[in-house]
Amino acid sequence: MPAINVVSDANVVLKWFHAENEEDVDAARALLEAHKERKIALSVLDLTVYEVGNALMRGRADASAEQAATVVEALAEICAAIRPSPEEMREASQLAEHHDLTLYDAAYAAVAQSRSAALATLDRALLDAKLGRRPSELVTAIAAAAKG
Amino acid sequence: MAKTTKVLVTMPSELLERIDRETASLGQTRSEFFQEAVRRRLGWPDPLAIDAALLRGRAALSEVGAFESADLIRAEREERDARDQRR
Repeated sequence: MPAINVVSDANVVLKWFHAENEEDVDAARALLEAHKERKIALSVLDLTVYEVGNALMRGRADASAEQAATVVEALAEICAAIRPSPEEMREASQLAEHHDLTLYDAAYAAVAQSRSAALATLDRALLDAKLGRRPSELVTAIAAAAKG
Repeated sequence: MAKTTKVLVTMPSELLERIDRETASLGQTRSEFFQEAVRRRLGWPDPLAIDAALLRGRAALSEVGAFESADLIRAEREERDARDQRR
């Protein structure tokens, strides 16, 4: 069984598929490699599918419906999507209030916390609140754990 | 081939009916369906399926141009959050 559970934020997920003008692509994709090798178990939220699809179609990416659908379908092949429990959404509400986050941000942190997982994110608000870690930090931690 | 074991599982009839509709549409057996579902629940990826999915996803976005995903997702969350607050 993988030793480390990692919940991935949508901003990390997008870097698995897109690289032009992106920062931290190598680290984001190194997490995927670790997942493939079963060193970690990656998951996303059910929310991630909507965030990725919506950001692609309605954001600066200006992707077509077909392009967005292909990415969303591919994501479903890569890792499980977690539906937060009512208890996790309650915790998310409290985190959102305490750290002045959107509930969307806080849902990722609450699910990661309740499932003893690390949250991989590049979101400034989550990083500043110390609720998530950059993919590069996690890659270093995973390599250290593998060495024992 | 890996050693296999038969198991007896109890579940509500309506759930089994939904599973049978799904397996029929996918052309899968119940055993295949349950094994796939359990592997996913345990977080066990299929490396070949991941590679194929990545290729498809990357090809789909090969011509969308430059953006930073962290900015894209942040803007989308803030827009949704603002919309929620106006309701």
